[in-house]
Amino acid sequence: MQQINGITWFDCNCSIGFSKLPEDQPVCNASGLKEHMACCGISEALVWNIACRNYDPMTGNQELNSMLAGSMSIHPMWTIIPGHAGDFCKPEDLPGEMKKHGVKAVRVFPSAECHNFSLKPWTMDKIYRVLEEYQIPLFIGLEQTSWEEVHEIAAGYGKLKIIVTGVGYRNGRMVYPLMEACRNVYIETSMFKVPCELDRLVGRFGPERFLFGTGYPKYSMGSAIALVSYCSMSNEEKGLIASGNLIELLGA
Amino acid sequence: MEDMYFYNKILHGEALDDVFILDNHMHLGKVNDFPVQCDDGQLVRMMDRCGVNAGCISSLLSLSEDFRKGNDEIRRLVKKYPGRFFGQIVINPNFPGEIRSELNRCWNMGGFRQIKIHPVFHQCDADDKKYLPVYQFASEKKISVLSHVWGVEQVKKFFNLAREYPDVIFILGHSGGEIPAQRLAVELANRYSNIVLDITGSWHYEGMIEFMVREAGEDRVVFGSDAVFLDIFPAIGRVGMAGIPRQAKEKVFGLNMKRVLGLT
Repeated sequence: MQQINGITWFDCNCSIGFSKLPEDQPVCNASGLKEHMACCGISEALVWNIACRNYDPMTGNQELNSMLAGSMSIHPMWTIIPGHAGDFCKPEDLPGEMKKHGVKAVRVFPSAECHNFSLKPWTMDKIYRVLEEYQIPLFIGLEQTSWEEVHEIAAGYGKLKIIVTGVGYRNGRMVYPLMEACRNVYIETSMFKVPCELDRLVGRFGPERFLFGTGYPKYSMGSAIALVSYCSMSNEEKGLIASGNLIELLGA
Repeated sequence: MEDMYFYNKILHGEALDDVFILDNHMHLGKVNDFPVQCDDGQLVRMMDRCGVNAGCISSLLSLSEDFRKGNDEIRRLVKKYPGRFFGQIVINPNFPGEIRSELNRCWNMGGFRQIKIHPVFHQCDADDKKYLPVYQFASEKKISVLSHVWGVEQVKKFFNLAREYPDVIFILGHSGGEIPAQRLAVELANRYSNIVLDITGSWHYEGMIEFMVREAGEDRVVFGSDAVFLDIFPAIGRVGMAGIPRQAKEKVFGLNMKRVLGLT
């Protein structure tokens, strides 16, 4: 892993794949992503496939596996859904399937516009228990859920590691109490563009529950990097946010 | 790569000291729906940290409840940090009888170089006739007007305004914000030479800096962060790591605003 100023950058929030609305979700393949990462000094990335969200998770995950086969720097994140209807693997089979394909993290898109399912225990209990048992981190975009829901899940499943992505600048009054109440909630940094706030949060909670992400190819990598690199915290703390925390979560 | 300078500085969290940076879209104050805990001292420290030389700034208090108190706040800020800030006079079109007097009051105090209008916060479209004294004042004093512009419908307002006031430079704050609006803003800039595009926003879409510079020209795009409403640093990274030549970055970062403000 490349280190720049003693920091290695590992993006936890990237996507690749073809998109039917390139203006809304730019098209990016693995080689394009690698090229841009190299340009911006990012060593590794965790990626999900657009087709998983927009078409079908099973198909998209399989496509992702082949797109990233052999890649040392881009790592797959599977999209999961509750498989009660038989359209996804059983929760108890998930860890084995993930291990077979070198997948260490999962993401959900439960909103009505996407996969249209409930995150409540009556739907997701078995999955949460499996993710807890195997310590598989669960990524969810804030646009897919609500803070009330995140709190409910985090409080109900204390060992489940939940990473909330796309946390925008208006969420300060939600983030603080949630970070206090639930030590299993992590925040991805790219959209949290509040002056001095990441330094303040790290000062209060420590750096361990903040993960560097970019939202590329929809959003600028440079923007997300500068949000962390210009913080006043120590290089050691930046390093944890930039990659150390994610590496720990992935059990790498 | 010719602009490894920017990449290296940003990755190291170092100030872009070799580049003149003028942030055209800054604020001081608070908002009601999320904690903004960054006072003037912290703002200046942030500017120093990343190399922002100066900023054009308006008061969040002016944009919300009290335009006079807010303008006074900005006047004090400009005086406290000589050379670091250029004040933006904020008027509230819902007090039409006081627009001219407030413009004159602030101008006579000194420290103000622009006018800022906010059609959304003040719920008054930019082409409402209540703003007439604003554009007349801008024309008389040869100063630019920065407007909050979000969405296609708001961008459309400026097609007429740019034509009606050819000697007023209109800076489209956020350039419309959403991608379709930004595309229309570029069309507007191509049609009227008195339109300038501001990159400020919370959504830092990949490729849009490159698009604006390519389609509207490197002389028509200006840097802005929305600090303290938003963080300065991501905006620095967004432009610094954009896929545009160094010359274009230097223009966007500060040389264009230097020209707009008539600074030597």
